Amino acid sequence: MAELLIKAVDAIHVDPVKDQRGSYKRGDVVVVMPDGHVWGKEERLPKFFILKVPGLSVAIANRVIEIEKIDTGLFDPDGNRIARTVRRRKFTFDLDTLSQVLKDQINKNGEITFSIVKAGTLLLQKTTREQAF
Amino acid sequence: MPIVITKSIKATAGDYTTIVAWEAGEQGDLVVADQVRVGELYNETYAGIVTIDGSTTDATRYMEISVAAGNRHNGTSTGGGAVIDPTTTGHVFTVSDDFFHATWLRITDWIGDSSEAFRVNSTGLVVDKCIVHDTVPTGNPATDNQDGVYVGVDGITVNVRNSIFYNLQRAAVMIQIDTQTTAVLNIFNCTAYKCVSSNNTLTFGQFSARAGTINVRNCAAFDKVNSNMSDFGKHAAASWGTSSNNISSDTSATTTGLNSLNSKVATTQFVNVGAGIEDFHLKTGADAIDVGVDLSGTFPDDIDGVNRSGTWDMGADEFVAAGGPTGYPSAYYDNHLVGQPVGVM
Repeated sequence: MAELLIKAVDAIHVDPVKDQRGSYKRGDVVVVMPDGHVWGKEERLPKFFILKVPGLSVAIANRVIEIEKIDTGLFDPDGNRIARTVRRRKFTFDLDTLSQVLKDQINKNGEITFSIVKAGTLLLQKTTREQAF
Repeated sequence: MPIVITKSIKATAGDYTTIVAWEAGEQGDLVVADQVRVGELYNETYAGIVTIDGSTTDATRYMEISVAAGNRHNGTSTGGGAVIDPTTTGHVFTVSDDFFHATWLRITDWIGDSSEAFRVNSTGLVVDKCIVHDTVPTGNPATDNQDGVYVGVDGITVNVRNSIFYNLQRAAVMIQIDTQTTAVLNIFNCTAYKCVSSNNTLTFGQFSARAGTINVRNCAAFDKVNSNMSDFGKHAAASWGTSSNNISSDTSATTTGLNSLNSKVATTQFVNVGAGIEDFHLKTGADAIDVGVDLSGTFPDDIDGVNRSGTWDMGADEFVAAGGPTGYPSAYYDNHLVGQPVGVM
């Protein structure tokens, strides 16, 4: 079982490029931890909430903390391809499609528990809307 | 004076449990808030790698990762402190916010080809009192390019001081890219030992620049591993700027500037250079004692937080004779005056 720390609110930077590249947005999964992780005092509302997914391995859940990068087609002096960060996170937890009942549950408890299947329908790639798992 | 907001990062009973979560929770406009935001580590091991980005900062209002008093390393390889030992591949810190500060960290065993302890994409970075050592080789010497501090873009200034780098798979601190002609490295009172270069067409020394300006002062570099690199080295296109007062085991220190010392022996400088028990404090009689230049206009102390006094020494440590002060003193760090003028405020 994995627990996911998810941003509850947008961070905003005035520079739109830096904002997209560097600011965590509402729904971004910041950290994945195994079941039973004792979260810190700031790792809760209003900054974050916790998504608990029984049966989901940390290894699979870690897909949703992937940084979105693009290949620039350039190479560094060591011969490695240079990738540029586009967004902090490639995937988002789609809060907007949650029912108000579920949103209220998050707002009340600071956490919510979903099955792997349900979580999979909500953890989506930002640009393609493909499921993370 | 900006307000300092300190949050603890620890496994239990802290504000945050990971550096990544701290950065995500604290990023913002620090200039408008008039704040320095400090993530304070404890005497634990931290496994994550982190990107520092998304905040608005300036020279006096910035993000900082440091270590809580009483939890800091003692300047040796075995001396505790907060250890960042990543379990995933990549740069330990990818720094894209200006004026980020990293102090009192021990960083080791990071993973991956072309992965650095600090990949720097923004100006004003301050690395102070850090021990950076023993990367994990990839198994392919041709691609073991793991530097301590690596300048990632042109036009920035990077400040590294009172820090120790050893057993790295490439340079301690470097400007690698030809086009970084306006990048500036200020490397003051640092020590490098046995950093390897797997790619000698690109790396010139343990403290190295292929372009830009590298100001190296009061630094000690010993026992570079590859024969065709130097302890201190640069390409013809780079400048030594205001470098001076350095010491090396080869003959490269005097190429950096005045008052430098060549061909010295590591074992006569440092308390212990044995593998796994390294202690780069200066020992009695070391050539590096009392031959440095006074940089107290920039910072006052050494890797232990002990105020430097008299004629400064070369390297990260200021030699203290038996019976002298030990350990960090110091309201200087705990009040976050780093980078600000020293004196009455």
